Amino acid sequence: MTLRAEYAFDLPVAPKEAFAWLSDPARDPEWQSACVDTRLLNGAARPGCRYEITFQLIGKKMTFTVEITEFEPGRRSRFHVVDGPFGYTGTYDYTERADGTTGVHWTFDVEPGDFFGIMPKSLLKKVLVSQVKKDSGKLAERLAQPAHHRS
Amino acid sequence: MTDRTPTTIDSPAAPLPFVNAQQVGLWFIHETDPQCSAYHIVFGAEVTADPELGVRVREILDDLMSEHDALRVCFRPGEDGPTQWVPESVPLDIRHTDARGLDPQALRDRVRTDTRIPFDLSRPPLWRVHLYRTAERTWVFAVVMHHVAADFWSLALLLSEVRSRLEGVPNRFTLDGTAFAAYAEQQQRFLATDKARALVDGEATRLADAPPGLDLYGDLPRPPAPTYDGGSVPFALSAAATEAVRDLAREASATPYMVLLSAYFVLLSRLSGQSDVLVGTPTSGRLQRQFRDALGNFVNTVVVRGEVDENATYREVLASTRARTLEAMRAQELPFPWLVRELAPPRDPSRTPLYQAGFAWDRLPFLTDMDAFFLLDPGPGARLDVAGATLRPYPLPQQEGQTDLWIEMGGERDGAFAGVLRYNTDIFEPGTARELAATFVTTVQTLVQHPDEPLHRLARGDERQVAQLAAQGSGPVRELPPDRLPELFREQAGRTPEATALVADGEEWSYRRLLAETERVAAALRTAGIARGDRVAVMAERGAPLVAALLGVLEADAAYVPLDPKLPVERLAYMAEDSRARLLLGERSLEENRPAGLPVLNLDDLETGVIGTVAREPGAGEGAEPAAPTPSDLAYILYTSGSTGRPKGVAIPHRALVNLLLSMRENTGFSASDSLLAVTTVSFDIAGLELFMPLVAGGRVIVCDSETAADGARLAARIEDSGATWMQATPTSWRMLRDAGWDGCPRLNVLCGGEELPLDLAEFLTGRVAALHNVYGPTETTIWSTEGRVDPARGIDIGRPLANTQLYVLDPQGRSVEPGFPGELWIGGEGLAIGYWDRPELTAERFVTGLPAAPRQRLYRTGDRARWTSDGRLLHHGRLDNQVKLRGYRIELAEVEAVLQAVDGVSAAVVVVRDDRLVGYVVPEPGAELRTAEIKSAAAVSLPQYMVPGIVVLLDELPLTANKKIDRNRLPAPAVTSDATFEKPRDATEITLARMWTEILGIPEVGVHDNFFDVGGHSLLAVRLSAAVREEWGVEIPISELLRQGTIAELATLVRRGGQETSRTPVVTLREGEPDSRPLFLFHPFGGTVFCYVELTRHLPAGRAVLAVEAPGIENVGEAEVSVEGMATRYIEYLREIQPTGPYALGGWCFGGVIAYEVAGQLRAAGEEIELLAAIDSRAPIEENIPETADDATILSWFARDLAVPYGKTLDIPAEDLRALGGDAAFDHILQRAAALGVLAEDADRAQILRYFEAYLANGIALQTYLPEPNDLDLLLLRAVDEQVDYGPKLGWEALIKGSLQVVDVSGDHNSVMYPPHAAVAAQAIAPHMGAHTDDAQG
Repeated sequence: MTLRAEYAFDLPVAPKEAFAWLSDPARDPEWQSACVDTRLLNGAARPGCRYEITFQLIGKKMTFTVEITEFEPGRRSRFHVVDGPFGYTGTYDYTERADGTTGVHWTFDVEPGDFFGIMPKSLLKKVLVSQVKKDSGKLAERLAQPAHHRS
Repeated sequence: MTDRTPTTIDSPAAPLPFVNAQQVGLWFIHETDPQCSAYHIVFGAEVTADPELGVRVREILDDLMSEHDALRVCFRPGEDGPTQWVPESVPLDIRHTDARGLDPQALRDRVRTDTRIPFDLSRPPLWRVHLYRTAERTWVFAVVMHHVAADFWSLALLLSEVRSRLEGVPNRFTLDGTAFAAYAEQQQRFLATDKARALVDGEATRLADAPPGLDLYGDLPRPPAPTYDGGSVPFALSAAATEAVRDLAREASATPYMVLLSAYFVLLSRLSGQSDVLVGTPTSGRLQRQFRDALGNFVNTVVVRGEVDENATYREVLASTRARTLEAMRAQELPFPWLVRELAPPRDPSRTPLYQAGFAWDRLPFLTDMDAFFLLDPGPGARLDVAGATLRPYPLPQQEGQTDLWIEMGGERDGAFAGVLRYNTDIFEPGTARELAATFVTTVQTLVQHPDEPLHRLARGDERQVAQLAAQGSGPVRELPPDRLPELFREQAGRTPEATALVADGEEWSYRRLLAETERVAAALRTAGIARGDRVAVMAERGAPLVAALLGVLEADAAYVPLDPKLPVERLAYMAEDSRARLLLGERSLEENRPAGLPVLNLDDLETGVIGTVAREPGAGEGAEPAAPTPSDLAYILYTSGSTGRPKGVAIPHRALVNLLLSMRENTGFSASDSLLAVTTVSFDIAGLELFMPLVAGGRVIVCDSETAADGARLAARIEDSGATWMQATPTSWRMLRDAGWDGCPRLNVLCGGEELPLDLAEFLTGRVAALHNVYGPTETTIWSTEGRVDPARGIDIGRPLANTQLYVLDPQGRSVEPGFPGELWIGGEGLAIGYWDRPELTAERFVTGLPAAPRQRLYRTGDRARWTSDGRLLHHGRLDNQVKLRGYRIELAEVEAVLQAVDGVSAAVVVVRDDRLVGYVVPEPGAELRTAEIKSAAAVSLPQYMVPGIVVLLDELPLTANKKIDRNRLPAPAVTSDATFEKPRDATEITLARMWTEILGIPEVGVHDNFFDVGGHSLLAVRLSAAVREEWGVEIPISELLRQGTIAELATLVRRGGQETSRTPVVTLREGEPDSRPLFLFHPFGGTVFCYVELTRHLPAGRAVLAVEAPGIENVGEAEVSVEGMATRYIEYLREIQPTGPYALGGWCFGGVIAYEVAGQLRAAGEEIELLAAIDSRAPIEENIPETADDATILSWFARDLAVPYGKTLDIPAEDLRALGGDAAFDHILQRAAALGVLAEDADRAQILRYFEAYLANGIALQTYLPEPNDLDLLLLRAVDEQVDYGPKLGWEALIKGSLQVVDVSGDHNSVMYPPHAAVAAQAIAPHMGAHTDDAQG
């Protein structure tokens, strides 16, 4: 059963900068609290790029091999699992706001199977959304600060 | 056809200030059952008059209505019960019916129906007139008044007044239509006086330790709540008895009322088996002259506590009744409903409180010329002329069903006392009620004729009853042949030598062959030295040789002792030794199990002769010629279980066996064309019928091997294949067949006996087999004593006595009891055993000659309770020793079992008492998925609450004895602890209800299984509770439901069922506060529920409300929050609804403290002030405190652990175990473990627990993903000093709290800190920060 989680948020930067943060898997550990590590397997992010990513979530550690299928800087990126404990497909859609900042729409289609045990799917969905909400909120705070305070 | 006067009612401005307590009681009954007509006072008459008279009557009634407030009252619900209103004008309620087309019976039915149309007590008038025109100048009229507004006296006053006005003569009274209000006021004042208090104290003493109920034996199981449906039976004493009553009253300085009440006590004592009997008796309540002529309801009931000792004389009983009546009358000013409230007797919603039988003495000092009009059976010829009209009585039954039984007397007919017996049709059938009325008359007549003889010496029953009992208790008289079984068999073999006698193991034996084998065995026995009177143990596998062996022993003039090879060898050895068997007739294959020390003759090797030496019977004359055998000789000794734990041998003579065989042959019509499939072990006496009855009828015995007999599917196949036309088995065996999918056999005739035949099994068998016969009988009266075809539609009886058999139902004094009365069943006749083998004392105790009912007859005492019905059927009411008393209530376990067995999906049920609780063991039908809660609920539909098993245990099968009877001694101990462990409220609904109870009842705490009425609740408080529930949840719970479902747990279920579908604010009021005080908000811990704060709240200082926020996911699926921040944002919305602005007092235990921290932070960010932030052993939400592997299995393990915490128990299930099980299996595992530990009900609602777990999981996730920033807050941290896990001296909060961090050490560990006794310490630590000290601290 596929479960869809989605969330929309704003980042106080231009779409290309937002894209550079969110759609580059190499930077995932910097802003996703559940992401423990990423490793690019065949070069920089682009369509066809494969990477290994490890999450620690709800007491479980999980590693996936993911391939980027769409990569349009400032507009959209899309990726899906090619190997891992369960499958997912993620999408970021970027929209430029009138003030030059960025609206982001995150979509995540997951097929968790029995990986999360007794946890109800509805709860898993909430956890995923909650994580993105927290992480994106913190990232937005960070990006709102002067550049030299961000790292 | 009917014309009802339209009503328009003026509303008065204000209610009257008082309602008298009797009215309150009646109003309450009406509230619980608005359709109840049991309190309608009815007067009926037929009148022949000119129509103009009717116009005049109407004018008079109109005048009376406007003159007298009492005729215009109505009652409306108020805050604490009813309020009484008197509208300025109320139109008459006169209902006209043209009944000229109705036949008399139809009219009577119509009138009866109309007089029972319920009143709406809020709509006056509370009286009406039904008028039926039956001819041009003839009407039947019925006046109906609700007792809440009027009593019988008022009705008579009104009739008298109407009559006076019609006749134009002044009435001897001046009606008073307003005094009722003064009476209520006076009563209110009186009840506040010391005199009233002293009277209550006196009543408490007088009624102390009274039995909780009068357990009258009735025809029907008592329903959980009375229906107030009833019937009436008129009766009359003879003129002589009436005179004797008066004489006795005079001699004893008593009244006829007391004499008759004494007889009633005797009747009730015999009907209930109780010596301590409470009877309600109405008093007029018009003690003061000013109320003598007042309209209204003044009647009050007093309870007379009678004592009946059958050794006393009637004169002594009367003296006691007189004293006890006077004593009861001293408190007659105390209104009964008020007294019940004050005394708070144990509450049983299935009965009226304190008394279940009533006795009324209604005798008017006026309208004496209308006496006959008040009788139910006035006799012919009564008439009265009034103002040119002719009145004739038109008696109408009324006020039926108020109690189980009610006798009303006082009236006379032809100089003799006449009366009516009213009965509740929930309990009694009309025939029984007629017998009870007849018995009352006989009892009175017998007692007054012999006032100085001890009661136990006086005969019971009238001539008709005695003759009836003798006739129905006696089986047909049949002359028995002089032959014994061997001769009968030989004769049959002579008639049909080639017919098949036996079929076993695929082999058929003809009669000739069986006779030859029998003679061969007999010859071998004689050769071995066996002679007349010797006992021979027979131990053989089921098969043809076994039958030959038994017959051979009898043929050799000896008696057999059957030994089932499947029994334990010790038991076999005991039987052989106790019977002093001289020889064992065995088989070589059974050598291993043989009792040692006996010489053996092997059936399969008779030629070899005896192995061992047959000892001579001590005292036997050597060489003496034995006397010829007689029918009185011993035929067999059958061992049954004994109360000492050692089996006792029952010695059966040939004559008894022959009587049984011939009688059953006659009753069943068993013929040469019939065959019987024999399935019963030879050690159970009923096997004798299976093996021998066909052989004296020329039919066939088909011997079924024991493995097939014990296997439902195989046995079903055997029934089909064998072509058998008869089979006999216990209900347990028939049930086994049913459960194996057997769907009956149209050619098969069924004998069912050995245990009580459950109705559901009878219903199953009937229609699926040719005929169903119920058979009953103890071993001591030779296999069966009664037999009868079963018609389930009529219920189950045990049939009629067999030939030459007499049945007696006797009281403890050995007198026959009247039809309808319970007694012990005794059996006499040809079936009786010689006695118990070698047990002369036991024989003398159980086989008795010289009882009053049959002075010259030897009778066997069965130990079974029985009752003759009014139509001559004998009902079996279980073993006398199968009756238990729990909390004062007598309970027939068989009755409870019958109800459980009737539940859908239940195959069998047994009920026992364990640790003062009823435990039901239930075997589901194959494929049925039963939940114990559903079984209990289903049982509660037809059983009073005290009879519903507290624990129901599901079993795959019931343990059985070797005889295929249920073995109660081997039922497992219930694996689940009693529900009583669940005393604390478990969710928001229960917590709220518990708070309401404590507030309404004024008690400190209450358990969820306490009954409202057991902990001080009464009718008016129930009204308040109902109102509080309505206010809180908008759920209407009728008071009748409160009576039936009187625990918090039950009410919570009702509330949830009736509650709104939409989610509600999950803020639970643990305690109300003073107005304008700021509440303390507590937040839920991991578990999501807030019942952990109940104990803490009890010890927090009074004045401030304590409100707790539970996790929204607890009550509503899908509402769980997974982030602390999200929770805080949401909870602040709830807080602001209650307290819009700060300062706020916040706190929580465990995770609740973390939530409080986030809530405080968000409120502070919004500019609010935080008055108090308290965390009770909460670990700071910092990375160091997050466990590394808190996956779903880990959280489930914590969840299991926390389930046990409130009960002070430990439930540690390693997460790795749960992980290995995975998903639902892991969850089910913890449910099972928790139930086994007694921290979850065995039938806990899985969906609800799963919801709890989801909330728990969400909280766990929220905590793991919550890593907040430090905040400028002050924190009061309570640290549980006994906690083993070390999180540092400040539990990590120093990393987050930038303000003041005050740490207070409190007793307990992390889990126990919120429960007794530590919660009080925690409260004491918080108290100074709430601006007060705890109650405890104040000492």
